[in-house]
Amino acid sequence: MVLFTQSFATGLMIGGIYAILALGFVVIYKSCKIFNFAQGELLLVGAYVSWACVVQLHLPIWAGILIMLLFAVALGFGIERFPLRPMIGQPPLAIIMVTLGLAILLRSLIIAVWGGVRHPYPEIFPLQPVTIGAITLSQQHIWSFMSCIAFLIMFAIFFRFTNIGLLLRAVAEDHILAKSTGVNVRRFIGLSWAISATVASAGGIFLGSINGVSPALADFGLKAIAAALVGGLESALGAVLGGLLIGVVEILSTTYIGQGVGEVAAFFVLVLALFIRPYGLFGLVKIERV
Amino acid sequence: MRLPGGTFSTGYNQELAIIRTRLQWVLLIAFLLLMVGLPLYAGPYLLRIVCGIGITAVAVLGLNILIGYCGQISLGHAAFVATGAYASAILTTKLGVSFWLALPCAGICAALTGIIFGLPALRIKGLHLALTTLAAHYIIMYAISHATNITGGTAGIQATRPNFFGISLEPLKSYYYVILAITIIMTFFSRNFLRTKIGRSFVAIRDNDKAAEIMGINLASYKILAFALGCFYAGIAGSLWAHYAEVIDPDHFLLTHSIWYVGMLIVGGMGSNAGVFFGVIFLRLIEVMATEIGPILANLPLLSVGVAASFAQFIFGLIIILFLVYEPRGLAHRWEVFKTSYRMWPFPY
Repeated sequence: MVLFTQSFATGLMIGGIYAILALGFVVIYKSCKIFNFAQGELLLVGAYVSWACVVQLHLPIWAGILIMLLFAVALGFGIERFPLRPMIGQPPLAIIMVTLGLAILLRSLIIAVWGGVRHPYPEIFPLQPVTIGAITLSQQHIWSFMSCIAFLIMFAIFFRFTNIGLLLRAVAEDHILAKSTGVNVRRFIGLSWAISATVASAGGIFLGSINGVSPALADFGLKAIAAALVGGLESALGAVLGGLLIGVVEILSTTYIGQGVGEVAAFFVLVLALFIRPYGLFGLVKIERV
Repeated sequence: MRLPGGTFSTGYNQELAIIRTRLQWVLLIAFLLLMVGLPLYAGPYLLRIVCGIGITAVAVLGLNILIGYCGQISLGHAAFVATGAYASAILTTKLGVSFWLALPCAGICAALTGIIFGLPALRIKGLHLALTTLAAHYIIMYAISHATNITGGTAGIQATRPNFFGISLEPLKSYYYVILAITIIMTFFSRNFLRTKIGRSFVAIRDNDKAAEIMGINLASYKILAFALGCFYAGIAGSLWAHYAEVIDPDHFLLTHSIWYVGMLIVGGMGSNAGVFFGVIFLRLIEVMATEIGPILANLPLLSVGVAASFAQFIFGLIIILFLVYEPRGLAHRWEVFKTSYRMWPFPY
């Protein structure tokens, strides 16, 4: 029972990071119906830029994170302008391949500049593990989880109660309607990409501090696909629950079945979800049936 | 099909023929002679490149049936190639079956796997189908790398080159003819296949599945058939690859390879056999060039030694994005435009 609670809690902590990555998918998918396979690579960019600022340029950690956030915003606006703006409304294969091409491009650039080896991340969170009752959690996990939850709450408030959030929701609802009420749709789609890139790179810091910085971090982006899809591609709440579910399933299957299973558990969940409920837990039932 | 000026059909035979003019016959025979004579004058480096192109072309022809003809997106093609490769290697090495029997068996194995993972296509399409095949890739590769006592796991498995009526095809110069022959057969089949009832049904499903169903095409069985055929090609390519590489391990079949296959199809032009060859040759040559240039770039400031390995990927990503934005119909379309213009010359239309 202790083993179960321990794994469950750890899974929940990892799930927090998946949740924030899945949120990145949802924000973009809602605003322009593009499913971004390069989300994991945006995460990689965040992890590497902040790592390079702190370790290679010897800047303080807050400066590294600030530069990373600014870089992510610029990158988000940039990739929206090219190549993703011409892709709106294109057939699914073209969209899938453009974002996959972008993923390959970003990853190979990162390998070209920083190499393919794993670097340890500076200790931004204390290393001492914390014991709560019978379970022990590392502080990195707890801090990441807390920050993710804080991020999610911030986003909920931002989308619900601010003017920009309202406009973003209008764009997500319908491009033509939003445009006819005077919303600058292009700028807000760009903003969604910037938001998505920012969340992804924030996830990159957390994952980097837990696993170290290496190109393999981008695979977390692929697993977060499962989280976004289980929750439903149109639902932010679904993305969060899906992320937590994937984290828990991954750690539990690693504990009870074996080390390698955790790596593919997310994909089993993905196939299962697509068989049973292709539109996800909270998604719109708009998927075309044939 | 557009024909050169002054070519008219005077009978049904001519209407049906694939090759119409004398020039086309001459070019085809000259090309085949060039390919048959290749081991006589080409070095081992060039021979390896051509073998790689042939094997990849078979795999991409299969993907062309699946995506280009029938419109079913698959991001897991490398895993089906892996299924064929492992089936062939296990049959020949562990069970002692002849290569000539293992080759079709590998195709059938991959086709059966393809049918299983193609089943979701009956319910979903587009993005969701792509995600299912992506998951299929990881699940198949997980199964292959963890069934250690059958597949050898990450250490890999051996596959020897075959014999042909007592003649050893061990040297690459001899095995090259196996690859050449099978590539030609598969191309011929794929070219003719489009003109059969099944091929035309696939195109109808691609263009509009609801209209196809109303016309009396059984969507379920034809979609499954598309997966079976596409993956059969993948299995044949896998078997060829296994005996070409002689040792295979799971690292030969990564998700990146699946993406390269789809990329070749896009660069070449979907739904066209000539396009498959344009795409495969174009991207393979780019890759060869990039692996030559990559190590030189490592001396530049700001870049690390990693650039040697990642330069080809960088160029590939760039090419795919540029093609999708500026020429989504691929090189085959460019080739058609060029052919039309030189046939018309010097008249404007």
